[in-house]
Amino acid sequence: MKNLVKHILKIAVMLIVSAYALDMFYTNVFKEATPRTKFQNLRALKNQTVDYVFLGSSRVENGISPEIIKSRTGKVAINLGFQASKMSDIYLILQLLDEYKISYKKAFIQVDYIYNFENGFSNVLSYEVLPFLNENELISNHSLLNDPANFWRNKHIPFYRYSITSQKIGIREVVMNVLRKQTTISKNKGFDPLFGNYSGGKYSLPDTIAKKNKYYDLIADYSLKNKKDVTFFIAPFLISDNDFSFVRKLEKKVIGLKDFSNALPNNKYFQNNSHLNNVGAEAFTNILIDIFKL
Amino acid sequence: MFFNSLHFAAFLPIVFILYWFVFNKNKSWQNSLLIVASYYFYACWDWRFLFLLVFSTLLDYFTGIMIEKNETISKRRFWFWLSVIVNLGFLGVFKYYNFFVTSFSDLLTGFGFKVNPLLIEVVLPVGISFYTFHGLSYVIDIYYKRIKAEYNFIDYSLFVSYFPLLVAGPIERATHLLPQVKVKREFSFEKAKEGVHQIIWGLVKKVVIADSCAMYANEVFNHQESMNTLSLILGAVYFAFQIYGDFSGYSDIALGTSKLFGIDLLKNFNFPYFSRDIAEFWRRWHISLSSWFRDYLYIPLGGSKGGKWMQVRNTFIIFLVSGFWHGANWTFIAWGLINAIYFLPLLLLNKNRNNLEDIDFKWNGEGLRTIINIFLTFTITTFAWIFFRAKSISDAFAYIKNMFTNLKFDIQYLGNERYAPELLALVGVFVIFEWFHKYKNEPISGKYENIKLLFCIMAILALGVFSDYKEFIYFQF
Repeated sequence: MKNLVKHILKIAVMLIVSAYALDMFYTNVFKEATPRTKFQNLRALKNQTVDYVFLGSSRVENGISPEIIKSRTGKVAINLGFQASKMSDIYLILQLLDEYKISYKKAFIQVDYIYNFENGFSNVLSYEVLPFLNENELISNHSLLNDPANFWRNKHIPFYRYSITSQKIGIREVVMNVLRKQTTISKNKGFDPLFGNYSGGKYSLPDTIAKKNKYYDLIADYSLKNKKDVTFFIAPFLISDNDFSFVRKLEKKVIGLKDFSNALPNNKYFQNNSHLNNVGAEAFTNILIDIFKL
Repeated sequence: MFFNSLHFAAFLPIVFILYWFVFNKNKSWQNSLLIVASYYFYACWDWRFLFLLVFSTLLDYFTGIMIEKNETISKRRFWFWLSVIVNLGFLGVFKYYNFFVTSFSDLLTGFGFKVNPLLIEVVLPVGISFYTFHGLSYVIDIYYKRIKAEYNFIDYSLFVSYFPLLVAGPIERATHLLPQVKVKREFSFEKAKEGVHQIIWGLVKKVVIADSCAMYANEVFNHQESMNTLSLILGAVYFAFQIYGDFSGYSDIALGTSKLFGIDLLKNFNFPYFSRDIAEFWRRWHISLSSWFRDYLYIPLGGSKGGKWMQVRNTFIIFLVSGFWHGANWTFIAWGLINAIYFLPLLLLNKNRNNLEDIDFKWNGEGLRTIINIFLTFTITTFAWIFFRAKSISDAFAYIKNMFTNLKFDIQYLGNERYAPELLALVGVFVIFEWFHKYKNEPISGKYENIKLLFCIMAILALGVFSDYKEFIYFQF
């Protein structure tokens, strides 16, 4: 029996050492490699200065091209829209810009029906930040709120976070990082264009609006307190019933909201009813440049 | 409680410590502990079905004794048929009732009658097919006077409900398992170590191979209409490795777990994808079920003793019943039928017992022939798996049709950020690893043991699929 106990202890030590080694290896790869994900892109901007940052969901990620801004104005912009982002995710990114000492002249924040989802989180951002869970309190707190069931295990059990998200930040992504394979996002300063046109189906905005969104309030307070130049805007939709009453309600909640919800009322600009395609993204970026005199 | 769950990872050491340090006085103590542990294990699935397990145990225990005690053939026959009918009755109600009723109703509808079949909504008790066959073999053996009835209820209960084999086999025989539970088990380091290694290897097969393949196979089978020829071929291949990794991985964990308690279970898999013909495949795949059907169905039907026609009939019967055993769906029956058809030429040409000896591979013409035969056997087996995996017969035919009509061979993106070539490489490494360890119960022990252990642990951690938690396929049977 003593021999078996020794043997099992040996296996346990192998398991723990392997988990620690893999965890360290993966984390270092994600920290040091050429950025592939949106979040790695953000981290890579540490201690740098940009002119404009665009925060929001996939409607920002797919709809605003920093390259066009650069070519037309010479200004540096960065697209920090994350798929399925909610206001809570935007608040995290806004704070991380300061945490990573990334200075910017102006921030544009997209708000729309995501105002109604106070308790939601981006599933994409949630795994992209996992390698950096122990890097700062902001990410840690965000992960705790986002996935309380796994938070302790993610933070304290070595390699657990990589095991349960292996399809996203597993071996394949590590190999791609090691091989320095770039993604569209990393090549285009965070912009991920969509192609084709599948719009035209029934699509409408919500009938009702939430009484308040805690994270919107936090963003507004944070911007005021830290003297940030922030502009809230609503990106274009292709609404089948032409009912924009939700936007009117949102304007009452979000001070100074710039409304672009009906700025591109044509099928050709949309990949689907809520996402611009590459043609629409170019048109919308040009509108932003002109309206805001970027 | 899955073998690949944290719950089981906590349960097993507790039972192990109690077994060897607290309940090690005699075999009755050991057996009592294992019964309690087994009932707890089963209750974790659904405690209500515990009554079914206890009832099945009581039924076979009692009828076994009554068959032995009664001298007259009529009384023996009465108790025998009582056990068979009640056992199969439970299986029939829980597993097959809805299938028969809907099939009959569909048939009547085809003749223009309007029928509203009365269906029952009940969850299939996990492992019912396994412990029913387990008990049946015991009663049949007593009836044919091959074994004596077991009078010790605790020993018999453990034989039926022993947790490593309770929910998905191997389907044990009284002649093999009962003698082991009737003596006090002494601890053997070598056996326990082999058990630990077998559990680890089983986990590699399950979480690294089976679950990775499952992600792809599911994508391909669920979106078959948009898949090209290459993806459809790969989808079938991935399913072949999914089901092998899943079930043989489960069996390895079961056998390994049992070795920790000093009990050997029947080997269930013997590298079936290295078979040189379909007959050999069936001697290597799910061995405990194949041999069950051979001993309790094929041989009683006359086996190979009659003429060719009799042999053909019996072969078709066991393959169809074997298919039907897997589930109440025409797809399983079709799968059984296809395998019977594969078997037929070997039977007619008296070649079904050609490859009884182990593979002795050499790099020469004979070796090349062996490789070609293995490849061909794997190909036809994989083709048959399409029917096993498809939701319906029409889906299976649509899958095959698309395979021959969507004639494109580019690599398709299958979702979940996973791509086919990486998995193909993983499967390739697995096959090579198995090939070089094909005469061992588990590949870890022996030369380079520590390196292989580390390799397995790293593989489980880095390549295992934990995000899409999967249960074992055979639990549904």
